[in-house]
Amino acid sequence: MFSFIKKREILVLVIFALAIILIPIAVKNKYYIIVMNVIGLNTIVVVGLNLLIGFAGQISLGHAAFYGLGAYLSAILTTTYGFPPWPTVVLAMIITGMVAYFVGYPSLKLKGHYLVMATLGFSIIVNIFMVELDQITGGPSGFPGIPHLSIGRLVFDSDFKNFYLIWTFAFFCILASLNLVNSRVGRALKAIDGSEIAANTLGVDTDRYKVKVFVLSAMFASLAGSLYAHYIVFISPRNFDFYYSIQVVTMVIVGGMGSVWGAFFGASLLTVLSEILHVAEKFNIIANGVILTLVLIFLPEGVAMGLFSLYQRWKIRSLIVPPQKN
Amino acid sequence: MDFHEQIFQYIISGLTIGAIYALVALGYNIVHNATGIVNFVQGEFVTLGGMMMYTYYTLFEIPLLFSFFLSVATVTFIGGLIERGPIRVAKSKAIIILVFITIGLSSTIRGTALLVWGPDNMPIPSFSGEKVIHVMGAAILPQHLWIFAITIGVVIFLQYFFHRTLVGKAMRATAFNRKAASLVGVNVNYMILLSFAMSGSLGAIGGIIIAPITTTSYDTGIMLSLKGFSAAILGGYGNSTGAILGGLILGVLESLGAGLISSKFKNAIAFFILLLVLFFKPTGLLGHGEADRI
Amino acid sequence: MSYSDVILRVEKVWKEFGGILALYDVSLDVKRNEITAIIGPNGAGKTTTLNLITGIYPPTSGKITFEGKVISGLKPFRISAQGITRTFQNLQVFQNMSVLENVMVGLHTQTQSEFLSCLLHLPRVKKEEKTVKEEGYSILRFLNLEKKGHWLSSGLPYGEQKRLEIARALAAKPKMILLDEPAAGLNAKEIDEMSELILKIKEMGISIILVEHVMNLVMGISDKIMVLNYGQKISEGTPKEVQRDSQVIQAYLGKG
Repeated sequence: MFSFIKKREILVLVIFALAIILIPIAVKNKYYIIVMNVIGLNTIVVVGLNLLIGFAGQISLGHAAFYGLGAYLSAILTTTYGFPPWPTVVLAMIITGMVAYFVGYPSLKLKGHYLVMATLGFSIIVNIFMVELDQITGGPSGFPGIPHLSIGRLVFDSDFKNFYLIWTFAFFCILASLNLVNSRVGRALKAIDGSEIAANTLGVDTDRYKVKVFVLSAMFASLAGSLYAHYIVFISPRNFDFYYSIQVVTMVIVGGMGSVWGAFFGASLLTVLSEILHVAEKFNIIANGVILTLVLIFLPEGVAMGLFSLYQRWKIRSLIVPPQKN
Repeated sequence: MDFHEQIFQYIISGLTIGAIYALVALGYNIVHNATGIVNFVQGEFVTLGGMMMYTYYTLFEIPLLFSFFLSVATVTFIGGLIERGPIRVAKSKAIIILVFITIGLSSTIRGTALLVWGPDNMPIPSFSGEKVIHVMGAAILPQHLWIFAITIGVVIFLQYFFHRTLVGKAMRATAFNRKAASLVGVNVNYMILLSFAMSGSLGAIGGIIIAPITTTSYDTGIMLSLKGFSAAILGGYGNSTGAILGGLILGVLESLGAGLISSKFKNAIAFFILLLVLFFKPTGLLGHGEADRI
Repeated sequence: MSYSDVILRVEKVWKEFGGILALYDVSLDVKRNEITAIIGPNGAGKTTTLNLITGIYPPTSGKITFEGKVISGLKPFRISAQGITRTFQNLQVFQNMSVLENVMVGLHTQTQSEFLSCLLHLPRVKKEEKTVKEEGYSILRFLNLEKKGHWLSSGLPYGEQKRLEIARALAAKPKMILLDEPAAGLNAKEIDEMSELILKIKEMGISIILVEHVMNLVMGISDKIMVLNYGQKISEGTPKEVQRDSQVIQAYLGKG
């Protein structure tokens, strides 16, 4: 995963950017555009979550709450109080980041499964608040009438226009992640996952880094939430329940923890699958469960990485076993 | 009903649901002590217990006692199957992966339950009727008494099992030090299998005895499982007395909170308590500082 | 800070775990640019001492000072900032990264880029990356590992992983390095190479604390040895002095 990928990565990014520009022109079916928009939103969340899970090795089952906070903050502040939408997106990210800090700071001192429970518990509390503070949030029937985002006279009111909006953000989130991963901070995060004690003795303030990456991943989710709110113009607590938290974690795992593109791949694959199964909604839960279970049992490094590491292992084997016969 | 009687009523219903939390918490502890895994399927064991009971007792009209044992046996079997199957076969033995496998399995089971039984709530008749008993001004159902009695019975049995039988002691040995246990001849794999099976039994019993009061459905398990886990942490994770204490305290606090403060946020109470415990005293009330801080 | 002969001072340190007394009133002066060895039977408290110095846990009582500053009670990452790094008895190589990346993590304290600059890939980050990579390779060259720089570190043979841990610890430009059983699991030739390596590190001006079981290595290169048994110091001195100490012989061979 090193320097030779750097050049290839630039090529991939260029192709990716071209795809973003060209797809809405080539694809006319509105339904496909909508699905791709959902993939885009999920990609933003999953790429951020992957930094936490795949690189720093910390699990959160609470990211639905951050996604929801972004959505509700944008929705309520712009619709009810008339805040300007774009600054509110940033404000929502900051507020969500602060909430993440307060939850993350004590949680990340805890070991693995305690962290899982803390984030899960937190996200359930947030969801309950979404439902019960119905005066502000609209309660279980949801919050309608959210304004679209706009730049000057360009209003992002169609699926087509939102495609460009969402995917531009997704592109920059992926780019930022790639930058982070191949840097001092990225290595420090991987070091925390590799051996927290060793990382500490090499000068990495592991507690601070874990909290920071947690906050960062929450801010990514918040951004996606705001974009979602201004796109669909209607949100409800059901979009931000703990099933969503499990779904995004599944996307990280299936895509391969520790790979930025893997996160995008996982988000795409599972969003599409979810759409296919949406037709028969009652199959959604079991399908999610089965996929997560099977991937974890047989390809714990994720689908892409699992195959990649099989390839690597094959390569190393052919290096280590020299031909002895003469 | 005057104030004291109301409080007492809340306490009774709190203890009732608390008993279920306690059973779920005990189930978590058994698996965690033997394997280090948090078994998220625990909640589905509760669901399945109730659903099996519905199937055997209400649908097939098998007599109560047989239904009870059949249901427990079925879920115990499923618990063992989970260990023998997915857990054993998993390529990675990393604990966090196994924990996530249990999360995946729990979704799988829940999804299956949804397909098999549908989304509706299933009613189960009370074990011995609905005639209200009045104690100190509070109304108690016979089912409440069944819940207390059976829970106490289970706890006594577990005490006996873990401290007086060879198998139970072997399980404790495995939990304490797996290598040492295997060196003295304990079949560690069997102990792990047993721990999953037992957590199945405990979950099932919990689900069965509460079902007549709360009805049961495919997603009963989630909330119970999460709150049961909170109870385990509250009492001190890994500690059986803690599990019982945690369960009862959580149940009562939840009931009192819902009754006195606000019923809208009832579900949030358990998780607030969870977060408070995790943030300020992760070892819980009775925990022995299991290295939960890195 | 005055340049004194003694770079690390362990003063009357006790360490208790639950009911177990791991270290009992241990004091040690480590002289600058010397190789100070800590030896003793298994469970004597050698690794505990290293862990206390590097801040893995605090002493139950007593004080540890480095270059005059108190370090006992500080978190490991702060202690490493003072100039102390270490290797581990149970190899803590970052298995999820390449050989070069392991060393680059060692350079963490020599660099500054934080989250925001890295996310935005500012020009100074780009420059820093280049520098770090070059330095990383030169350290690997010093330890004969530069050809395997791009290998996944888990693919290295055991002996090379141990060298990698040392490379990583050296990358941080420490004033003092703690080596926890660097010769464990090595064959005779590798032990000789390790010996030479440790002497080369000493030549670089670094002070060394060495925990080791391989006696010929310890006796061959140490300037001073402290012997622990059951958490207590039972002997201290030059290799010759320690070898002749009857208490030491008794501890290793039993009463006889």
